[in-house]
Amino acid sequence: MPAKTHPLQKILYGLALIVALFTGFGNMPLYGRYYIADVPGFGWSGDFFINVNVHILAGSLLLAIAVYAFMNSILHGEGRKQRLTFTGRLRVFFLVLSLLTGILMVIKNLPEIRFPLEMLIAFNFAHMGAAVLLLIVSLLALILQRPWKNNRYALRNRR
Amino acid sequence: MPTRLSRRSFIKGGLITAGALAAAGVPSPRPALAADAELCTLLDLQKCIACGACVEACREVNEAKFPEPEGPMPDMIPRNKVKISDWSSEEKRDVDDRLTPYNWLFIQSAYGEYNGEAFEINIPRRCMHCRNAPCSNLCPFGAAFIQGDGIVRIHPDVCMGGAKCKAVCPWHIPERQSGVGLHLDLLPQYAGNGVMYKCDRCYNRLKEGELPACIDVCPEEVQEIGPREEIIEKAHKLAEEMDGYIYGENENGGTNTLYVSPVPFDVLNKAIEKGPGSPHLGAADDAMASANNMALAMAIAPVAGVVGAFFHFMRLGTSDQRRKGA
Repeated sequence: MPAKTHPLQKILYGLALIVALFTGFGNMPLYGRYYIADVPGFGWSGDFFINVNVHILAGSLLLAIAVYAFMNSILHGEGRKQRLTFTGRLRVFFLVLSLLTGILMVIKNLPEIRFPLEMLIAFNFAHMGAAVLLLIVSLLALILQRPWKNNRYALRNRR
Repeated sequence: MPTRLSRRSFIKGGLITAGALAAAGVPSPRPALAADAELCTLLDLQKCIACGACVEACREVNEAKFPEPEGPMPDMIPRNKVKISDWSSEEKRDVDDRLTPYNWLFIQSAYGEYNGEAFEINIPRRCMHCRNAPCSNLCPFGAAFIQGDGIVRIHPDVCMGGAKCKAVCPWHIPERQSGVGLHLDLLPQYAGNGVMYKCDRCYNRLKEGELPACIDVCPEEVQEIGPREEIIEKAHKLAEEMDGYIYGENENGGTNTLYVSPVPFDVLNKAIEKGPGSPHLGAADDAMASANNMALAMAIAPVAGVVGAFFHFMRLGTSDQRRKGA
C-alpha cells in the first residue's frame, strides 16, 4: 500500500503556497495602490522589504516540502505504485520552475552576484509566469477535486 | 549598451527569450577583466564651488535619453492613490535644484559652523551606484540592473514606473515621468505609471572611452573616476590629508560614489535641505541585509527536506519491523 500524504504536509504546503503567492504579487507595487495595505492587519504587505522577506521564507518552506515529497517518493518506491495525474504533473512542473527561478533570484540578491539585464528580465518573467500558472492549475485542481497522484493498481483494475 | 529593446519587440519576444535564457542562466561573480572593472567616483567636496557646470553638462549630453510623453496623461485608477508625475512642461524641465526625470544631478549646499569655524560645502548629488543596489535586486520586472562596471541603470523600455526602486533606495533617487514607457502598451490605467529616471553615469560615453559629462566639464576637478580599489585608496589618502570624512564607502553596504569632506557628514546632513528630490547624507544601513539573511533559510530548506524524508523512512521501517516482530 503506498504511503499516504500526511495531513500536516498538506496544510503546510497550502499555507506556504498561499503566503508565497500573496507576497509574490506584493513584490509588485500593487498592494499600496489597490488598498490591500490599508486593510487592518495587512499594512505590512505594502512594505517591500517585509514582503520580500516573508516571500523568501514561504518559498523556503515550499522548497523543503518539495524536496521532502520527492525524497519520500524515491525512498518508498512510490513510482512503482503510484503515478502523477495530469494536474499533478502540471503542478510539479510549475512549482519546480517557480522554485528554481526563485532560488536564482535570491542568489542574485547576494553581494558580488550580478545578472545581465536580459537574464534578469528572463528570470523575473519566468518566475512570475510559472507562479501564476501554478496558481491557476492549483485552483482548478482544488475546484475539480483532482488528486496529485493515482494508484497504478487501481488504474489497472479499472481497465 | 546591452541590446536595445523596443517596447513592442520586448512584449513579442520576451516570453520566448525568457525560457531560453532561463535555461542558460547561471550567476557569475563580478568579472575581474580590466575592461569591465568596477568603477567608482571620488568627489573632493573641498573643491566644489557650485558653479553648476556639471548639472548643465549632464542635462545636455543626456537630453536624448529624456522622456518625451506624447498625448494626454492616462487617467490613472484609482485616482486618489496613483498621482501623475509630469515634469515634461518647459517650465518643469528647467528645474535644476532637485532631482527630476530631466535633471539627474543637482548641487546641495550646506552652510554652518563646525569646530568654531564657518563652512560652506557644496555637494553634487545623484545616484550613488550602490554595489548591491536594492533598486536592481527588488525591481519586479528586471528593469533596473547593474552593469559589469558597477553602473546601476534603469532600462526605459522595460520600466513600468511603479516607483518601487525609489521606495527601496536608501536615498529615494529615481524620479518618475508619467505618460511614457511600456505600461502604455499594457494596462495604462491599471498597472504602472510611466518610467523612472536617474543618473546612468554616462554609460554610453564611458563605453566610447569618454568621461561622464559631469567629470569632464568640472573646472575645479572635483570628481574623478577609476577602478574601485584605486579610488578607495585615494579617498582614504585625501581624507587623511584634510583630516576629513568619507561618505559612500560603507553606506548601504557600499556604493561606487565616495564623497570626501572636511566636515562630518552628520553635520552636513543637518545643514542641507532634504525632501522630495533632495536626498539626505545620513546613515544608510545595508538595505539588502535582511533579505540576504533570509537566503540562509533557503539554503537550509533542501537539507531539511532530505533529512525529514530519511527520518520518516527510518521511522516507518522501524514500525514495520515492530509490526512484523509482533
